[in-house]
Amino acid sequence: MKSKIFTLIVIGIVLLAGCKDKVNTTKNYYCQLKVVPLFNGQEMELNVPYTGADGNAFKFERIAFFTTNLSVNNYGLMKEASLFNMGKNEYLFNTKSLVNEVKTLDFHTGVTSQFNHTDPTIFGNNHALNIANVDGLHWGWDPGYIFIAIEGKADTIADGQDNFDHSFVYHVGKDGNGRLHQFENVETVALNDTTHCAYLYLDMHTFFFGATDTIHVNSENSIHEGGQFEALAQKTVENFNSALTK
Amino acid sequence: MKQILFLFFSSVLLFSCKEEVVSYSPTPYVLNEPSHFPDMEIPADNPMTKEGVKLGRYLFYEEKLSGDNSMSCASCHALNLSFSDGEVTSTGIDGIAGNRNSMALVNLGYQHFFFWDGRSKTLEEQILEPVSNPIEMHESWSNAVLKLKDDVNYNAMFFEAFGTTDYDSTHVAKAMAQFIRTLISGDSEYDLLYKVENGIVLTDTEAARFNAITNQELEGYELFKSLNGADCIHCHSGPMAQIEGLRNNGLDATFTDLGRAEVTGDASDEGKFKVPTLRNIALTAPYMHDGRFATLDEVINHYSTGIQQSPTLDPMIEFAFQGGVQLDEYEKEALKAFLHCLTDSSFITNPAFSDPE
Ligand code: HEC
Ligand code: HEC
Repeated sequence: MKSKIFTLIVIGIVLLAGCKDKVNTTKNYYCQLKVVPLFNGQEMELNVPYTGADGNAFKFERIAFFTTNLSVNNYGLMKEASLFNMGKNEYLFNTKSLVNEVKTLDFHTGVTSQFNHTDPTIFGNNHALNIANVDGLHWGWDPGYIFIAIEGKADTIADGQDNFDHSFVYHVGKDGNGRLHQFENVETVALNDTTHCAYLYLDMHTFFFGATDTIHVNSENSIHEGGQFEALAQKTVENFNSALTK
Repeated sequence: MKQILFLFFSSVLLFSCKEEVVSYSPTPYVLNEPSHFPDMEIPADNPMTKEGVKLGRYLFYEEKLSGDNSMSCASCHALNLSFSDGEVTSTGIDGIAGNRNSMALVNLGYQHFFFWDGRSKTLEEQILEPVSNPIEMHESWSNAVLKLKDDVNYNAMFFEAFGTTDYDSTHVAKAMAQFIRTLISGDSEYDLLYKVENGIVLTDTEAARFNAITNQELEGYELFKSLNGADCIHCHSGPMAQIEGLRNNGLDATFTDLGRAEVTGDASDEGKFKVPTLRNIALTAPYMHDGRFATLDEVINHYSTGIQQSPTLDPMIEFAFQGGVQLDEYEKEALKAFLHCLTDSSFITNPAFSDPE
């Protein structure tokens, strides 16, 4: 009898130990890449006024952009496509991965031509380019996807009164308006012992008041596709891409 | 003795199992989704079955669901009007008019919020509202279900669909949601334009229809899409002819119906309403959440010169500073002609959608 109990205890311990081991080896690790919108270096929110270098006040209603062919640490493709859509989805990826340090990061802003002209229902249900997930940022005819969408209102009259009646809408698509980004040693933070998050920043002040060029919201408040008003399209693309930093 | 008992019990078990299997075996329903549509997400707890869809269709047309047995869902959602009701605002069984216009029921299985203010997140949840709403069907759910249970045909249909005769409002909602998910419209001339633009090959009959689209309709479509034209595409685009969102399209400078803000209490949501589909739009007059426009001409005039400024006006109503997109008479006619291209006659004549009685 005694020996039976002893055997049972031994079996129990072995089983328990086995379980514990299993838990350890099946632990899931995650790596995320988050984009943090800023206004002049400070974290910002939608629908809140911020004052720009020209004294105008800006309220943003949508800040969105696509990225394609993203890879981390030269491991090959990590994410075919993502849609950053402030307030809705702010991660370019959030995936099971052992990566805990983003040494190199490569991606295109916009949608590369390989995906930009196909039937937008062919992508899987969870794919960022599936028509069900694009939040209106796909126009069937040329240009295809809207790569960058920045919308809001400006108060252009400095009379101390809230008067946000000047809309701005910057929509740019079309092949050729994407840009390749390569970042090294992106700041990565351990959120807990299984999740690491890397950060990119998108400064909307830089978007309007870029290092090389300014978008004058009073007169340059609307651009679509990137065909009709080429000069502003190029400014939108260049300023946007210089506003995106590590 | 023990063995005999055991045998007895197991045969009882087997027998009861067998009975279940024989009479409750719902058949999966395969949705007829157009190739240029995304896949519809079906909730895991309400799979589509032929029996469920059939029951839902009966219930949709069932007047017993109302307080005085005079009104069904179809009273305000009529097939020939793309499931709208032709009234400015809908009136319930007690003759009290609500403050909102009945909505067309088209492609709702692809959507994630319902009603003009987006207050319901699922169809199953949405369907519970009109029956008990005092200004609509004004009937308690317990009473409505009692009336159904008096009818042997319903008891049989509920059993076939859900394997129970002890059903309640949640089963009614599930069945109706299944029926509403079958109400798919994707065969208008607009769909042909969409397919061609997205590189989808047309069948021969489709190609013939495509070729019959008139120049005026094409001009209207160009205006619809163009920034310097009517600029409608920002909000009414894609295979659904709508984006999923709640927006203020400049109807008023101050609001009597706060729209989305009535749900969220957030001032930045005032005057925002669900962007409706433009599918079958020529059939669903009058227009807007309060039915203020009797015709498409009035709608076009609104976007052309009637835009009202307000703090929540959508930035994508781009020519608001000059009151709208300023179309001339020729352009207005072309745009109207194009809006008729969104009519899908195979939808409103589909025998599977009509009153089963
Ligand atoms: C008295 C008229 C009336 C009746 C009866 C009625 N409805 Fe409605 N329905 C409306 C109105 C008005 C709205 C918009 C209400 C709102 O937004 O507050 C609506 C909205 C809806 C919507 C939302 C559509 C969308 O695009 O978001 C659905 C779905 C719907 N009804 C289904 C039903 C069903 C199912 C029934 C029967 C159980 C029913 N309705 C009965 C008038 C009615
Ligand atoms: C900024 C987004 C936006 C744009 C751009 C826009 N709409 Fe709308 N549309 C809406 C919203 C929101 C509603 C519902 C508003 C309400 O009822 O309060 C609506 C309603 C309508 C309706 C009535 C639908 C119904 O079922 O009652 C029609 C018709 C319509 N729009 C046509 C157009 C046309 C034509 C254009 C271009 C000239 C256009 N829209 C541009 C957002 C927009």
